[in-house]
Amino acid sequence: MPAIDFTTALARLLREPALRREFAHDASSVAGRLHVRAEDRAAVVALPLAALERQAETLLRKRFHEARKFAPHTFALLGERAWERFGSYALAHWPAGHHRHLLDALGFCEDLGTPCKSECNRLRFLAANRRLRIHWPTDQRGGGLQILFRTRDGTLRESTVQLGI
Amino acid sequence: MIGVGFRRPLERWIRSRPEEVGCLEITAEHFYDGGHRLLHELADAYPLFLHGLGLSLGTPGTLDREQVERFAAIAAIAQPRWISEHIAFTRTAEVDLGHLNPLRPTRENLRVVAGHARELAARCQRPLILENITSHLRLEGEMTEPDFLNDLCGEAGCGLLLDVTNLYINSRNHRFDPLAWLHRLDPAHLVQLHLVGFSCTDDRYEDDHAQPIQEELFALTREVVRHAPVQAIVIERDGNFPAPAEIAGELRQLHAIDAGH
Repeated sequence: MPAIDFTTALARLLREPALRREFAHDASSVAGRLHVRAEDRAAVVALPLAALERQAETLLRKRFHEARKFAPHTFALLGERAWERFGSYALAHWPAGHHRHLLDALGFCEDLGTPCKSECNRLRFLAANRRLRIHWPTDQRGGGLQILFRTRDGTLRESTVQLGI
Repeated sequence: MIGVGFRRPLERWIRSRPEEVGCLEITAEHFYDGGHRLLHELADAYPLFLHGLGLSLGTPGTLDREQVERFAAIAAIAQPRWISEHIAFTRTAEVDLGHLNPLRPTRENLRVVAGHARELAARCQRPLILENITSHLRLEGEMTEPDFLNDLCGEAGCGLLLDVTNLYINSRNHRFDPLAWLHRLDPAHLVQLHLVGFSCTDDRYEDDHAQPIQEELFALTREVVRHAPVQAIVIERDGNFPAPAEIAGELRQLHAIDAGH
C-alpha cells in the first residue's frame, strides 16, 4: 500500500466515523495502519479529536442543508427525523462533482423509497440532463400530469396539467 | 465596488438594477448546466467576479481537468474582472467531501496551492484571488496563517479575497485576536472582501450564510478597509433570503464604511 499524505489521511478521518473512534483510542496505530508518510505522521497523530468531530459534523450539516434545497418536501415530510435519516444515508454515500448536492438529494429520496414522487421525478430529470419528461405521479393531488422540460438555455421548467378525470 | 453574490431568489431584484448593487459575484457551478443567456445579460449590466467552490486547489496532484474546463468556459462567457477560489481542499483521489477543509500552513502546501492557482489563472486568462476559509480544525504548520497567505500571494502572483465572516468565526472558535491576525497581512494583497452573517449555538460559531450581517462584522470590516482599501465588497447570502430592502440596507452600510475609511 502506498504511503498517503496528511490531506488524504484527514479526508479519510473526516469521512469515516469508525476510523475516528479507533483514532480516539489509538491515534498512532491508525496513522500507521493508514500508511501516513513519515513526515506527516506526527501532525496526523496530533489532530484534536473534538475539532475533528466538529468538522466532520459540519460537512454533513452542509450537505444536509444543500440537499434540503433540492428536496424541500421530502425533508419537510420527515420533520425532526430528517437530520438523523440523512446522516445515516450520507455517511454511506459521497457523490462527487458539481452535481453532488443534487445527487445527494436524489440518493436520499430513493433511499427513503421516494416518499414524494413528483419531487423525485424532478431530481431524476435534473440529474439525467433530459430535455422532456412527462409523469403521472400518484402523490399529485387531482391526478395531474407533471411535465418537466428544459429551455434551450438549460433552465428547468415544470408545469402540471389537470386532466379532470 | 459593493455588491452581492448572484442567487436565483435575488434575481428579480438584481435585474431591477437597484442603486445599492454595484457589482455581482457569480458562482461558476451554478451555471455549469445552463443559464448562459442570463449570464450574458448580467455581464452586460454589472461588473462580474467569478467564484469557484469545487476546484480543490489544495489537493496534492493534478487539478481535475474537467472541472477546470467547465470553470474556464463560464469565465469565457462572464468575462469577469477576476476569478476566485478557496485556500482549501474539498476532495482527494478517494472522496469528494463536498465542502471546504483546511490545509496545514506548510511550504509543501504553499507550493501545491500556488502551482494550481497559477495554472487556473493561466487557463482562464484572468487575475485570480484566493479566499480564507473557516474550519473547526485549526491546523498547525511551519508558519502562521497570515504568513502563509502572504507567501502564497507572492508565490502564486495572486491577490487575496478576505472573508471577514470567516476571520471573525475562526477568531471566536479558536480564541485569537482577529485584528492582530489582520495586521500581519500585507495590505497590498487584499483585493476583495466577503461578508455574511454568522450563526452561533452553544458558543460555537458557523458560517451558514443565512443570517443578517451582525454589527461585530461591520466593525471588523471597518478595520479591514482601514488596513487595506479593497476593490470590492460582496455580500454572499445563500439561504433564508430576506426582503431585498434588508440586503439593500446592508449594502448601504458597506458603502458608508467604504467611503469613510
